[in-house]
Amino acid sequence: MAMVQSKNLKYRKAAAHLFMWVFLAFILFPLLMVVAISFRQGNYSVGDVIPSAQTSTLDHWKLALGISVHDNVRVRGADIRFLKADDGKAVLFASDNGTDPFDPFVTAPFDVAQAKASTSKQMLSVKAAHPEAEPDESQFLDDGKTLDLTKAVAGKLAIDVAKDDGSTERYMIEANDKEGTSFGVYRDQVTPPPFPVMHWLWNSIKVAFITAALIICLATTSAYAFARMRFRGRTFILNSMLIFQMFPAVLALVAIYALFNRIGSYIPSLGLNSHGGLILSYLGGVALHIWTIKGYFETIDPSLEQAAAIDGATPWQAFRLILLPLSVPILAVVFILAFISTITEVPVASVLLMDMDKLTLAVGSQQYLYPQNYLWGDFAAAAVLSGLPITIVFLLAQRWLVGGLTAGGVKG
Amino acid sequence: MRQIQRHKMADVLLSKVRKNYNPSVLKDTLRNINLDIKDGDFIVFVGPSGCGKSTLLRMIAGLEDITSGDLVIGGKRMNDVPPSQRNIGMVFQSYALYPHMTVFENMAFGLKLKHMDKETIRQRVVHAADILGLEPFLDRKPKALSGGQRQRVAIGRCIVQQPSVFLFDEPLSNLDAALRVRMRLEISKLHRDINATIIYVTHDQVEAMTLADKICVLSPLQANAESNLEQFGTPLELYNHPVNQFVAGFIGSPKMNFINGTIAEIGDKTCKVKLATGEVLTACVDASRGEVGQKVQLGVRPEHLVAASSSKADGGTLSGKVIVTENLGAEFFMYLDVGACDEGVDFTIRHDFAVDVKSGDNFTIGIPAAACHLFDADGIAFPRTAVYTRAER
Repeated sequence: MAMVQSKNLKYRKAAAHLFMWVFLAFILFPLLMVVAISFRQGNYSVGDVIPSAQTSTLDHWKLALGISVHDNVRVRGADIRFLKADDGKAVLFASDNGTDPFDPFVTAPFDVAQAKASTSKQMLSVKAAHPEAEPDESQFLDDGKTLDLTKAVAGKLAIDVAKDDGSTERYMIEANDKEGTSFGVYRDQVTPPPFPVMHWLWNSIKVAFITAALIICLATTSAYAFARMRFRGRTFILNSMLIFQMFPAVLALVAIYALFNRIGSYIPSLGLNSHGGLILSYLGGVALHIWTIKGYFETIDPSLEQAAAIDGATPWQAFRLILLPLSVPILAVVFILAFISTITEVPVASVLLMDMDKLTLAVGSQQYLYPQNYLWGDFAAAAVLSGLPITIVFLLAQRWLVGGLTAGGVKG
Repeated sequence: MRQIQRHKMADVLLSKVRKNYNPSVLKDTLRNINLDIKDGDFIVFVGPSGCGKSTLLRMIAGLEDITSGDLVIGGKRMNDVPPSQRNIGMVFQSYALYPHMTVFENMAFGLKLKHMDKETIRQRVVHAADILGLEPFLDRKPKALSGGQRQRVAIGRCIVQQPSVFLFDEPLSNLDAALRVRMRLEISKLHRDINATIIYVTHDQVEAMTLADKICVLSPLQANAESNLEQFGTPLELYNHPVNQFVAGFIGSPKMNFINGTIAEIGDKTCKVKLATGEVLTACVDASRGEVGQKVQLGVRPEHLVAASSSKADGGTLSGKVIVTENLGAEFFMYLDVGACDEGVDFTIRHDFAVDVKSGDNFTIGIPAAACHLFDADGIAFPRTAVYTRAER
């Protein structure tokens, strides 16, 4: 390719390169946005594109991956006080200061030295309970000693308050600011993952993988028939498959729903709200893949299979031993295409699947977005996650995307 | 050692074979083909493109069904027997090697499908590779081979199956000229060594003349013709005694010259023909079934023409204007406009040496009477009473 080029052409080449980079940036920008949103604190769709260390959080990812998120929330209605206790021991009393409703609690006596020796990573666990009645004022330590004790145990106590219903709630003593001039009672607020995102991801992968595999099986065998055999109605079926494929499946949602409702009453595993039914409906999209594979088969010289037939191969052997090994690149392409289109498909899946634990990721992640509350951050994390299996499948399939498999077999 | 065990007897007999691709349309591709091919014969099907020669071969192979008629191989009717059980081997024009297999696997494929034991397979493949000089390439994929080597692998794939009939479908047409000549010789040697029946399709009549024991000339089927099998005979039979104008024109290179005329006088063993230009030529043919005044075409091969002054020019002379000359060194071609040929057809002369003429010159050529063929208006040849050989000159 060492062709001599005019100056003019070099400028145009540079311009084309520039255009390509800008174009790529435009394509990549939404992906970067989503990644940025998934790391951003809170659920905001607007903000910095490049997340900074201070404003970043892994909370959205934890929730997406099914891990509870802990938040220390200051309990403004509580004051820290200590009750008089034996030597070396302390009893913490969180009292209601009247600003916010707060149910006071009192801890069991704990060893101060032991508490001092603890760290914020390994806190001293202390049990506590709601007292029957407010202790007498004389039982409390004075303010100076209280402040000393508070400083000593701040960030080192994990107070588990037994609630009436038997569960416990965890409280901590933390400084209100970095300098540690004032202290407050903090409650450990646990946010459980709102949705089973990993389960959805597994559902998606399962459905997409089985669909793609079945599509490969169906499409290769049908394409072989269409490419190599002459039968009545061949052209008609081929054309009508192409034409019917032009109507989006969304148009037939009602029909699909009704159909699978009826199928389900005979074979429940293929009916509504089942992955079997969903896979069956996706297999309807096999027509385009048949066309793709048929086009590839037609580039392979039929004399190869005729030679195999003379060598004693049955049509199935000729197909499996000669044609299929030569068609691996197109099979990889079709597998990837079928996999991607299945994993990103929403309308049909959203109609056929109902139970929360049956949803695919593409459908399920929309649960994060409801008009009262758009959980953009959580949604973004789930969205990025849904791209993961596609990427992995593509990387795995790439090694099969090789050219020149048929080289040398026939005189070109 | 170039030796292979004798194959079992395999006469191939075709009787009244007909092929029609689309029975709803009464347009046959082949009609009324009768061939009796003896065991060990090298048969060449030759004809212009579209004459159905490849179809006929594929019908023998079983890749096309036979519309009507019988195909008998080795005494057994094979019409409804699948290709793999006909005991034939076929070499395709495109070689049709399996690209994802090595040369060894390519040759062993059919044997593996027959569940032969590994040692026998290895022996047969190595033996075939030895015959074809393919041993160094057994581990290579076809794409790492040259055209000639690929062709040999395709032949080797047949040999290992030890078929009784080898079918070659234009096997050399994809090779370059030099390699074609070499492979032609190799195939000829192969036939001598394995002594199997070979049926070979080509459009190249040089291949046909050099390789064949017998040639079968096919023509594109005319609408109401009885058959499109024109002639079946040895190469020299076809060259010297073509039964009709089609065979005469097809066999021989350059093509035979045809001159329009009418019968002027019918002699005992000769016939005088008056050309459209007025010249009268004598031909050594038995025209007793013709009559004076009948329209005929006189054929004479370019290589049989002699100088006008030669004593061999006993058939008469013909003169015309030189259109083009071609000097190939070993031979010299001259194209004349003699006026008596069909419109747009030049009269070709082949000389062994260059003649000093230029385009536009007038030139006179001598025609030996013994070299003339005569065809009636339907193209059927009158029997020749003499055969001209150039050695006589």
